[in-house]
Parts: sequence; C-alpha cells; structure tokens
Amino acid sequence: MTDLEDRLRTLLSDRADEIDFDPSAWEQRIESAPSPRRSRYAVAGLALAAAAALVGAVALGSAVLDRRESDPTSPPATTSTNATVRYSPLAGTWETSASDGVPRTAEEAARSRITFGESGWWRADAGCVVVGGFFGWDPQTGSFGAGDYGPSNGAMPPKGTDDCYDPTVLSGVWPGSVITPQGPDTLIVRNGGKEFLRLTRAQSSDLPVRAVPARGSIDYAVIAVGDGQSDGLLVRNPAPWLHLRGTIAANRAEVSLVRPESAEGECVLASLTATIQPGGRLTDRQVSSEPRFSNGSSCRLLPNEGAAIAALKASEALGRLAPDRGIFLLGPAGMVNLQATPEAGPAVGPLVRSEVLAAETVSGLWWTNSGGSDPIPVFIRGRQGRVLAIINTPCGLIMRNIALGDAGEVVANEAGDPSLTGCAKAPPSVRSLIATLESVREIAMTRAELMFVSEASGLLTLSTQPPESVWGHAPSVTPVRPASADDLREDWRLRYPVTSEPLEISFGSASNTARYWTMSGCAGQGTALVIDGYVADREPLGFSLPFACPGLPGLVEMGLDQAYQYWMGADRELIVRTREGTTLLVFERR
Amino acid sequence: MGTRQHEVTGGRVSELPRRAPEPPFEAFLAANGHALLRLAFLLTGNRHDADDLLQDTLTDIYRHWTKVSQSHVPHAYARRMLVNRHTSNHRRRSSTERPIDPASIREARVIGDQERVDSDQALWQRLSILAPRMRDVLVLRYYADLDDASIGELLGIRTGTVRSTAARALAILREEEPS
Repeated sequence: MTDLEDRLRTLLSDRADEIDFDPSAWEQRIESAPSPRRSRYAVAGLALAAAAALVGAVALGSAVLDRRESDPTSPPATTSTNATVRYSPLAGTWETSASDGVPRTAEEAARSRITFGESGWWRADAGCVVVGGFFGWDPQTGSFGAGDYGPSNGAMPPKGTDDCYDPTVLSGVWPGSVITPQGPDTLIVRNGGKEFLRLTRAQSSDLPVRAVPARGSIDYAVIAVGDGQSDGLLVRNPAPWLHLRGTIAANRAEVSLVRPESAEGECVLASLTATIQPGGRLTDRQVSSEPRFSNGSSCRLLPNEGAAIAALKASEALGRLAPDRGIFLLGPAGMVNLQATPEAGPAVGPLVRSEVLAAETVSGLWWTNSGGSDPIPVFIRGRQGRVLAIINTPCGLIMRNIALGDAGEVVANEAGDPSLTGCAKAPPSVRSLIATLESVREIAMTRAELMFVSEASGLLTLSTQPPESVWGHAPSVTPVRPASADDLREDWRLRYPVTSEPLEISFGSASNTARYWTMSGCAGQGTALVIDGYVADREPLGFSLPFACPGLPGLVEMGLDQAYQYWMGADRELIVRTREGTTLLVFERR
Repeated sequence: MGTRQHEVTGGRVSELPRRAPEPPFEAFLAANGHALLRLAFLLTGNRHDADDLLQDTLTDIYRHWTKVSQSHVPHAYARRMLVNRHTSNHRRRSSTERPIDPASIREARVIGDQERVDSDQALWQRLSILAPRMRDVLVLRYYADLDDASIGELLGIRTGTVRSTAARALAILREEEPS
C-alpha cells in the first residue's frame, strides 16, 4: 500500500465519520415521500441516462371528453371537449416572501419565484437559474406533486452561477408538499406539516407553458376554445370544422385559423405570427383577422367562428402537453384559449419527415424490421433535444447519447459507456445496428416509424409494433373508451402477449392524475401521467429494471414503460396501445 | 451493467426463501442508515447530494421492503441499490457535473503548520475532479474495503477495468500532489 493509498483510506474514513445521522428523522422523511424525492435543489436537466420524466400532473378535469360513439377507437384528439382546467387558485407568478418562517426582503422575494400555469406547467426562477416541469395539485387537499425538472441550460447549478443561484423557491416543489391558498394573493407551502414557504402573488406575471416540442408544419383540428372567463374553462368547440394551420419554426410561429376548403374555397379567418420565447411566450405578435379566401376575396364568417378568432387573437403563449395531443394557445394569466390536435386515423397519413423532430416524441420501444434477420428491440428515451438509444447485446447494454439540432440533425453522438463501442461477438444484424447508431447523422419520425439516417447503413427504419415472432398474434379487442383513473386503480394480469410466467400489474396514485405502476416478475415500477387515457409523461423509477428481466417479460415491461395510450376494451380489459393506436399489451382484471 | 441486471433479477422474491415475520424497516434504517449515508457522502462528495441519494435509495428500499428484507444480506442489497442509483444518477447528470477548476486546487496548497490538514483538504478536492467512476472505484476500494471483483460486480464492469480505473485515478491524484 502506497502512502497515497494510506492517506486516501484515512481521509475517506475521517470524512465519513463527520456525517451525522438521525434515524427517526429519516423514518419520517421516507414514509412521507410519495415518490422518490428528486434532488434537494434542482436535479440534472438533461436527464438522459435515466431519462427521468416528470411525475407532475396536468388535470384536464373529471368530466373530460365527450367521446365519439361512431368511432370508439379514435383518439380523443378529434372529439369535442368541455374540459375544466382546475389550477386557477395557483395560476400566476409567486414570490418567496418567507422561507422557514423567516421573512425575505423584497429583493430576495423577487429573486426566487415560481409561476404556476393553468396548463399544469410550472416554472421557477431560482435566482439566475430557470427550471420547470409539470405539476399536479389537488384543490381539496392541497397535495402537490412535481417531478424531475431541468434547468434552462442543462446544468444545475450552471457554472458560474453560485453567486446568483437562489434555490429557496425550489423547496416548494418537493414531492409531498401541500400548497394551500390563503386568500387570493398568498400561498402557504407545507411539507410534513411544517411551513416551508410563504408565497405572495407577484405584480407582474409570466406565462408558463411547456416549451413547444412540435416544430414544423402543423395542420391541426381545433377541438376546444376558451370561454374567456377567469376560471379558464375550455368549452366545446362551437365550430368543429376549423383548423389551425401553419408552421412552427425554431423560434417562430406562423399559424392561421382556417375553414378548410369548401364549395367556396378555403377561408383564412385569422393569422398570427410571433416569436416564441423559451417557455412558449409569444412576442412580436402580429394578428390579422380579415377573413379571406385564398384568391384574396373576402369571406363571410359562419356562426360560432368568432369565438375561435377571438381566442387566436388573444393568445399570448404556445404550449403543448404531450406527443400527439396538439398544441395549446394560452391567453392572459396562462388561461387556455384554444386547443388544436392532429386529426386521428389514417387520413392524416404519416407525419412527414419535414416535421422537425422533438426528442420527447421518440421515446419508446422500437423494433428493427429488416427482412431476414430477427427484429431487434431498441429502447429510446428523449428529452430536451437529446436522445438516448439503448440496445441489449451479448456484450451488455450499448447506449448512444445523441444530441439533436433544431432540424433533427445529429450534433453530437457519444457512447453512453466509452468502454462499450462495439460488440464483435454480436450477430451481424446487431453489429449493423450498432454501426448505424454510432454513425447516425439525422433522425426523423413518421407517425409510426423512426428513421435513422447514418453513414454506415443509409436509412434504418424502426417500428413501434412488436413483431409477431416475438410478441405473438394480437388478440381481437375493441377499445371503447380511454381508461380513467378509476379504471387504472384495479389490479391487472397480462393477457397479451403470453409470457411464460404470469405478469401482474398494480396501479397506485402518485398524484391526482399521475399513476404509478408496479409490475411483478421484473419488479419494475414507473409513473405514468395519464390524461384522458393518454400518457402525457412518465417517470421510470428504476432505469435498469426494464433490462433486468431477460426475454419477453423484460420487453413487456419496456413496452409498458413506454405506453402511449391506456384504453378500456369492450370486455372491460385494459388495452395498452402504441403511439399510433395499435394494441401493444392487453390486461385483464385480477 | 449486465451483472447488475442479473442481480436485480436475482433479487426477486420468488427466487428467495421466505422469512417470517418480515423485520421492520425502521430497524433496518436504524442499523444501516448511517453506514449508507456515509457511503453516499463519499460517493457524491457532498452532503446535499448524499441526502438525496440516500433518500431515493431508502424510498426504493421502503417500497420493495419485502424483497429487501428477505435477501440474505439486506445491507449488501441496500448498498447495491445505493451504488446502482448513484451510477444511474451520474450517468443522468453526466453533462451536468460541476468540474472544479484545477487552479483553485493549487491555490489550496499551503505549507506550514496546517500542512497536514490542508493536504487532506487538497486530496479531498482532488477526488472531486476525478471522473465519477474513478471516484466510485476508490471509495469502494479504500472505504468500503471491497475487493476488485466485488467492485466490478457492483459497478457492472470487469475486474480488470476496476484495476485500471483505480490505477488511473491514483495516478491523477499523484500528479496533482504538491511537490
């Protein structure tokens, strides 16, 4: 043993001895934790390797959707809605007027502040560091839930911000927090019964929305418009024929409210161009609302179109809840003005490659589909412009961290584990896939396919649908409605695919809309934020667990972890579906 | 990682003999919490991250208490969970690490009566500039007293990689030693 090693051993022991521990305090801490606590202050922003998603919740109300009986399998995107957004008491920007019972100066209060949006999005300004995420809040109990959140530039705290980083407000977004309004302008944040924070409504309010991951051309159906009232009520779309059409570039939105072509031709009712600020706020807005046909002649408004025009004109921010759920236009104080979503069904066709890829949308379990060789599962997570692709090989997991530019181009591509950059003992198809991942220069996605353009193999297309050779033949099931929170509360047993040993799943509540699931067999856990049967976000609690189970059970767990839709079937079975709506898993009640 | 997967799978309740009654989580916490926190502190290098790491780990243990309590060596099982989570965390935060400016370390070299204390402080700081895996290997080797095979198993890397990682880490620490 060298002197250095001796010193190291002594030093480590000495430093460890300085650490105190109070078992009773930790007991309380653990038992009161509804979900794994995130970092005391902010956690990593890129959230890649574990790709932690958000636990937070967005409630679109209990009386949510008026489903179309004529096509029960179509996603709610095309249905009318009278959803109620319930975060009004929290909506707005709040300053930390007191922390741990100690009043803060006006300057301190303004330095660390938080904004809650009707959209379910929160944003905190922790001094010079900005973080944000989804939240869930139960108005009855005050119970608040938020998960991992990322800083604006990926580092926490970013370099050089020690003297301006003020994490005080972040103690308010710990899991287990209870937020209670005290009058219209004060919020009390408690945790474990103790008052942590006192928040006072700020004079000026920012607009909090989730940054818009949908970039590119859009042609969305308008499914709901706001009623302009302060309670932020979304109302049934009075003019369901309207579309929101245009382009959303890196920081520029150009959208129009359009009555699609009819006998008289297409009428553009109103147009909005604006610059999209980080967080979704629209600046430099220019709105025109002179309804005109494409030939320039004036067109008359039809009944009920005025409300949608008013909603567009009053929009001050752009937001998006989840992949395939379209976008929101938000008005003053974060109220939802208008929601527009992609149309359902094959008529829309694939989202074309010209749609710039958002990393969030590619998360999932994908499969290679090259004829002649066995399909290979590829597990992909994406967040904040980065994609993590993982494949299981005879050499272990091979991971690629891929950073994407605004146009979906690969700007960085690194091995997740530098010691694993290839696998000579893998079959040729796996080696080819590895080579593709190592040399990928562009990623694009259609509705059901993910495409890697690489130096090694040109174009590689992945599919979301598990191959029959692995998954078996899908049973005939009829999805009739999105699964509600009450539906998911049941315990379920896997019916499809058929595994060698029974797999069971249980759902619990992480917040009022977030459900965490526990699966037997693989001991897997995850949290799914389920809105109207759609998974808006998710948090895998054990990153390595999806790979812990060899064979089909592990893949089933991956599939579940990356499910996009939960639906109830005609025989009361639970149908977990892929992003494009095909059956992935079927559970029956235990 | 492959080894870890196997071990996670190996921890399944169905593969382990049942014991009854299940010991209370509180007793486990009282017996092992301090040691886990100490290890968490050395792995992360600061108390805040250590608290977070232990919190996350204990929450996992609490949720899977039946399984953990039925393992033959609950403390080892818990330690594995903690190290796994730590590994996962620093993968997640791989681009968010806060490197310490080496210049600030050199400024810490003070010669005099406080030489030993300062030298320890400098060594502690130098540990923080090591790559996370290097630090993990050193902590598990020189604090947890694990052999290289066990460290490799715990971190999901080969024993040879453990040795080479440790050697590189020690070399870096030596390079930074005050002459």
